[in-house]
Amino acid sequence: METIVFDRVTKTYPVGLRKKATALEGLTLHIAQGTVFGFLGPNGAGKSTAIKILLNLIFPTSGQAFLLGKPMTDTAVRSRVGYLPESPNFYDHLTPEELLWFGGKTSGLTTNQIKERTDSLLDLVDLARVRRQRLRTFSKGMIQRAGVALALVNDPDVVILDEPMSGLDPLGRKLMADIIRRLKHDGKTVFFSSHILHDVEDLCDQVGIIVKARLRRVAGLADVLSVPATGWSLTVKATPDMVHSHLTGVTATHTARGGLTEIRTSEMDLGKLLDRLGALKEVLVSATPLRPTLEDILLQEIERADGESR
Amino acid sequence: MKHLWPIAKITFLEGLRSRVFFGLFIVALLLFSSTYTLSYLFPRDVVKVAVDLSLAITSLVGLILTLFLGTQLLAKDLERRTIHMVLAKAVSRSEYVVGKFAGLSLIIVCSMIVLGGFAAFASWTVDLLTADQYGVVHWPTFVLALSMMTLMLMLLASVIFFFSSFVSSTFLALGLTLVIYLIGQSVEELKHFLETGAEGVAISPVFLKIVTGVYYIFPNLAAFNFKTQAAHGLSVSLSDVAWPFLYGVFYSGVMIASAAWIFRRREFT
Repeated sequence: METIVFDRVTKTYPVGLRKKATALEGLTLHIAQGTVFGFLGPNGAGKSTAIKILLNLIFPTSGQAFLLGKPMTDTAVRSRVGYLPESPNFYDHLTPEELLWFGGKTSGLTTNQIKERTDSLLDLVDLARVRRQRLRTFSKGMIQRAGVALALVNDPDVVILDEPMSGLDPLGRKLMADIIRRLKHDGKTVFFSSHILHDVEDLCDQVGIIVKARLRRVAGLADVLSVPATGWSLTVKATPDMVHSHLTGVTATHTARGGLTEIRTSEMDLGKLLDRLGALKEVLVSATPLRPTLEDILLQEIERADGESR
Repeated sequence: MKHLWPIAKITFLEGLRSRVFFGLFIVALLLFSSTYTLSYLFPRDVVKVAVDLSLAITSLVGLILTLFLGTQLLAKDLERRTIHMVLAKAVSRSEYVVGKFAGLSLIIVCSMIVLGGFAAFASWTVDLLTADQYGVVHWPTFVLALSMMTLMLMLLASVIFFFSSFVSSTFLALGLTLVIYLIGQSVEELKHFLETGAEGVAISPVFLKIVTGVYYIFPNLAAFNFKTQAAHGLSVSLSDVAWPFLYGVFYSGVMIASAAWIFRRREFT
């Protein structure tokens, strides 16, 4: 079953009296239940616009979006959806407990269900000890975690996270990643936009790359990243001078890295390089194939979009 | 409209815990304490002045409270995008507007109960310390004046909501509401003056029509003023109360329905 559908969604805004700016152009996207979907793109690409259309906060100029088979204008369907906005702002004078009570009540939960969910979620996001403290005293990371608890209070089928990792410290990012993995394990659909490509590589089943209002590529993460290695990176515990004397006749570059030396070479020259480095074999620290990362792919798409608009 | 209560409750808590609320109550206490000194400046009408003054202070503080909390509660949601969090839940935009208004109305009612309590205490102690020949407090009209004042503030809150539904700046919504308040307080008197005419003053029929139009479009806030009746212990008929009451409920209803209608069409970027 498809839980999120964008059907030729376009959004334009008036700029001045006559001009129009396109924030989203003909977005068509189908996301199946249980998928963790990473929505990637530079700032202003249209990621948040798509999310806001899905939640009926803004209206598409043309096209339609569906959540769990219902049009985005259906208010009731949102009781099965959780949403974490980018840099969330909640009511300063409320406590996490009151915030979750609000989220639970507006999703149709009973008082007992709310109490149960509040206890488990505040434990999960590590805010149990400050459950009766006002949100205005919270750090940015704590607010973000309160937002996650609010998004999950109704045990949603679809979780929409707008830049969930931004502004989080490493511990906060790990917690968020663990929560996304847990949601996936529970068969929930997670739709999240992010700039932090490492997290997307780590967590997503499927990625969509959007640049300049247009969706450029949608694919399973494995398809995106399963491309032949373009070269190899070898790290050896030796000085650059020692390495340099072994590189004659091999196409390779080397860089010093705090007592280690990284050598990059092509797939073709790898065997030759390893032969030459025979004497240094015992100091070989690592050998990694060089493949385009998600970041490289995103940059390629941005360059391609720049080329098209020129 | 099944989600009104959660929205009203968080609005109530948010407003109740804000600094503006407590600051205003401290100012109100200081102003009420001045009633004792100022009333005795008019020895023959000590109680009347005490009642008039305490009700005027209640009205003033209630007005400031409504204006500030009214503009803040809604505009802050829009400026800080807290509204995204609310509307991402299974809450309709109409529920949001009506729930917010219910929360603010609850704050107004509670504030007026507390402020009215202060006003009653100030008037009662002056009454207690003064011989009956210098006047007594007429409690039924006193309570009536407070109740109608509360209704007027709720009507004003609905006007704030109406403006906030399409104006993006807090200050503009506040300014427009203040203008409405000033017009609403004086338009009845102006219309009456123009209709009865003044000797030697020629009144243009076009101007009279404009004022009459303004009278019907803008809320007639003077209709809710029962301070004089309370101070002087004048009798009030049922129709004197029923009409302003129905008018207030109807006008607030129209304002909130219009705000909800605009909100349903608004985009929250």
